[in-house]
Amino acid sequence: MMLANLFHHPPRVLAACCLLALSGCANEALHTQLAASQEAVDQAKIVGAAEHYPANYGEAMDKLNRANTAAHSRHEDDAMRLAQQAEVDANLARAKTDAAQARIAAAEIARSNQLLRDTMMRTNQNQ
Amino acid sequence: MKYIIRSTTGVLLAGMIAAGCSTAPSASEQEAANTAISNAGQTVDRASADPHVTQYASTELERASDSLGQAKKAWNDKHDLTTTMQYAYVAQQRAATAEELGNQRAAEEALTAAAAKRDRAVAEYESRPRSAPGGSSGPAQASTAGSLAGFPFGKAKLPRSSAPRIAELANALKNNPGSLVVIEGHTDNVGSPNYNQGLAMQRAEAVRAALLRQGVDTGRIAVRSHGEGNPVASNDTKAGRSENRRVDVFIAAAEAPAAGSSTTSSTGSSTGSTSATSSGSGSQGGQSGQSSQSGQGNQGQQPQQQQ
Repeated sequence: MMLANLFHHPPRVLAACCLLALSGCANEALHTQLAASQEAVDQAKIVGAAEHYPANYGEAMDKLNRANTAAHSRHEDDAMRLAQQAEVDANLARAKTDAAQARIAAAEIARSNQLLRDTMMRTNQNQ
Repeated sequence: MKYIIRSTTGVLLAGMIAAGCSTAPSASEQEAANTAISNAGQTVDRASADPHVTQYASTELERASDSLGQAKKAWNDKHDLTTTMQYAYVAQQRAATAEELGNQRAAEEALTAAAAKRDRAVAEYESRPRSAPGGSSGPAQASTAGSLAGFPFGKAKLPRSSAPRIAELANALKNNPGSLVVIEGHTDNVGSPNYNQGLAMQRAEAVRAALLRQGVDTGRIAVRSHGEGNPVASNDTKAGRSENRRVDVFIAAAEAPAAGSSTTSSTGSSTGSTSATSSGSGSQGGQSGQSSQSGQGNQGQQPQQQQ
């Protein structure tokens, strides 16, 4: 607990380390999975999944939190399942966001193409 | 969902202990497993049928297939419902992710195609046959470029230093009513290419918005994003990255139908009458170019407001 208090504020990587210290490396695979899930959720946030797909992103966050809680209380099977789900949920939220942004950019350029074409036609007619 | 899984785990475990792992699953367990496996299988099949997915998201698709295989195995070998449901869920989400990666690729291809179309259109416009620049007031250059650099990291907020440049640009456009503007956004190489594509577009949009506030018509402005793909300085230094976080502005100057200019006339009649007949909607000669532009600007704003 002392350790946990010491590292209370710094970022999540440290939180994952604390978790590791707390549970005494009981389950290496679980901690690797928790770190991977945290990374996936972070990446989803960076691309803007929280704004574009709040439901998907929220589900991933929620599962990650529950996974961490379960890991703390030594329910390691539950923690593992939740963490795996959080990772694939976050990856999906991120992919959906990336796809949506690419679609928006494509639609935007198609729209401004049309404007440009109209303007050129008009300008040519005006000569 | 989770609670169902938990309670069935208990039942399963108890059953396994009692009968040495050979208990037949209940009908409801069988149905739950079948449904989960079948749903995941359908998503995997759908993703596999998409050429964009098989070509560009094969890794994710393979992972989905693997998870689906493990779900089937967990059910067929052990009748372990918890593990089966878990793998089926993971397979489902991974297949959906693969589909989205395919969608993203398809949209990026559409974007590249549209950008190429734009480039061709601009080139065609700039190289079109022009009448001889006989007058003294017609703008001579076909295209001028300006650049607004030093956007803040990760943001599309205009740098403070850009205000006088924007005003200058808006003035130049007002003085050349027929000219077109192409605004191109750029980023440094920090962050994913896809994120940067969006950010660069937001930067270009910020410049467009600033020009609109200065009274330039929407219909005269086209924006596009180059993402991080077109740096002018090294991304290895802080100063270089700052220079790359920029917006380039190109003006394709048309032969301005400005009052007093005779360069646009092909018949030798007075400028006023030529402009009035060619535009068809001008109320007064010489200003007709401007009035048709503003009319078009209103049309152009409609799709923008929808977004």
